[in-house]
Amino acid sequence: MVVRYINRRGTCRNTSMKNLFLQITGFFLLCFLHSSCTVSLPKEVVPLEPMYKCPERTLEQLEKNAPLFNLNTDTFTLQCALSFLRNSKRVPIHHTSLGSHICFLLADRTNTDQIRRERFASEGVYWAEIALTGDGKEDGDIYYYLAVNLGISVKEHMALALKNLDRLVSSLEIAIELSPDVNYGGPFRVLGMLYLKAPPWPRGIGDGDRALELLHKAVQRHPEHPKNQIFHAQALWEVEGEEKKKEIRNYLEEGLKLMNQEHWKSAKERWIDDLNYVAKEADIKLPGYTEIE
Amino acid sequence: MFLAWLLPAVSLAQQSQTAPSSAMNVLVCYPGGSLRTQDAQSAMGSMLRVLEETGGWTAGTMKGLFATEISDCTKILSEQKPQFAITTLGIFLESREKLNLIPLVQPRIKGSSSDIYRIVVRQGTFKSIEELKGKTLGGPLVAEPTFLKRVIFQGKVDPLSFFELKRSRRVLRSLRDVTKGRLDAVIINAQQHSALSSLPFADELQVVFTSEEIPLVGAVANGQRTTAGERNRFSQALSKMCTHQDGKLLCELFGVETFVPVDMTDFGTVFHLWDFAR
Repeated sequence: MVVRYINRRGTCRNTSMKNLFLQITGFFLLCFLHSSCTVSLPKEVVPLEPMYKCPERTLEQLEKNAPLFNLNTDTFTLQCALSFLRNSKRVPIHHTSLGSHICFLLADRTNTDQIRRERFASEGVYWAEIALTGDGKEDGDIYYYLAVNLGISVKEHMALALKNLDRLVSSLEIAIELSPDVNYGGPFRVLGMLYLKAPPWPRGIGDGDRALELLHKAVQRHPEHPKNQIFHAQALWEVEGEEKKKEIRNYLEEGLKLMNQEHWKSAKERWIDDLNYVAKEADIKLPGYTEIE
Repeated sequence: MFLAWLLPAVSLAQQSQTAPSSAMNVLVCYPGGSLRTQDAQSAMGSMLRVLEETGGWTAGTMKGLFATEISDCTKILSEQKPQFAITTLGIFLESREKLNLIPLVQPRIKGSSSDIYRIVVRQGTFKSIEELKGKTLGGPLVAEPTFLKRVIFQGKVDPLSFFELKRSRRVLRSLRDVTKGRLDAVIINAQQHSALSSLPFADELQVVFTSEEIPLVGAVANGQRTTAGERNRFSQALSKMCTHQDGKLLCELFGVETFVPVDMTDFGTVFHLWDFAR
């Protein structure tokens, strides 16, 4: 376990274990593997809306709705879904990316409360780890959401971030293999930015060329995602510099245009800083746009 | 020597947990880095919290300043006058006399507190530095031409007129550019040189110039804004950093084994070169 949390003791309903030794030493292991055990959550999780406020739903309904969850899904709906997962017995849905996806969406939109943001993300790591103990090993989405949640959990803690760098990279590499298109080319985008921002060679894995290659792939596969445009512009600026200014401007303009579309509007406030940064660094004035402070 | 260094630590431990009258600013210059200031803040925060802990200061005593451009570093040094700075040798030399900067500790990397700079070219292209006249020279260090001229080339070569300088934030990219013929030469430090063998194209590279040993500078203090006690305490704090649980990781990241007190005799030659190798 990489992110620091302590598991609470799970309540196991399996009474078939007769071997006392196993009952004691194998308790956690068996609970972990057995489907009839309830889920042991990280100790410190974000309190959610009480379940009674949430609409009644079945697991089948949740499974049906889950693929529709995205950055525009309202927080109440996401919290209800997470609450439902927390309070369900271990079922196949726990072996999907759903829990980690929901936690990522909640963490991503929690900007003002860092502790809350990190707790959502830590829980996301937890759900991804649960999923990977089951049938999820071939599901690249799980590796992707494991990585992005892990990234959020450790970003502000340098020592933890350094410890987890290899795990972040390997999870994203698997995600590229298995689910390159999750979250609009997310594995390319996130790994690309990791290579761009990581400490440079020879002490670190930082590699501008590799970053550029991955971010180029992200924008080629999913030009409809504003961050793919903005991050590619950023990599171009940081690696190639002035000589690519025209291209950088084009990517930024496209990124800004996309952010103004209805689908991305809810995230614009969170992402505009990234665009402002590149525009400012490269000294590019975008037409009809005033920097938002 | 060791005891003399240890004794102040004992007395400093007794004054621990006492906050100074005002916040202490620590500037970190990271030329060539691609971190945004806002992204660097958490890393800076981590480092400063370690220093506060190892130095016995109240948490929050130190405030971090961060810059990746040399011009920003020198501007912050002269305008905001931070009490302490972690900076390059070139920036230190540039502002040393004006701001009465005092070197405090040096990093020890692979058992040495000095650096050696080398110019690397593609195999079979150039045999000496003389053959590079008018050719392109890249790498992050070319952003400090005065330091290159006076200290690395000891006044014998003026890089501004001798080379066509191509600054790059990323030395790995410059090395790739050399192998592809997009750049004629790149200047690298000892750490980078010793890691060349890890690169798949290492066999394509060749060293055509090797500098003298040049002392590394770790942390410096503004002599007008710090007392001898504060400088001593800061040095002690940095010296303990690489054995601290979190500090250790930061040290490992930069390949630093430990920080050792500055031996001023090492700097004598460098000061002389800076002043006279014009």
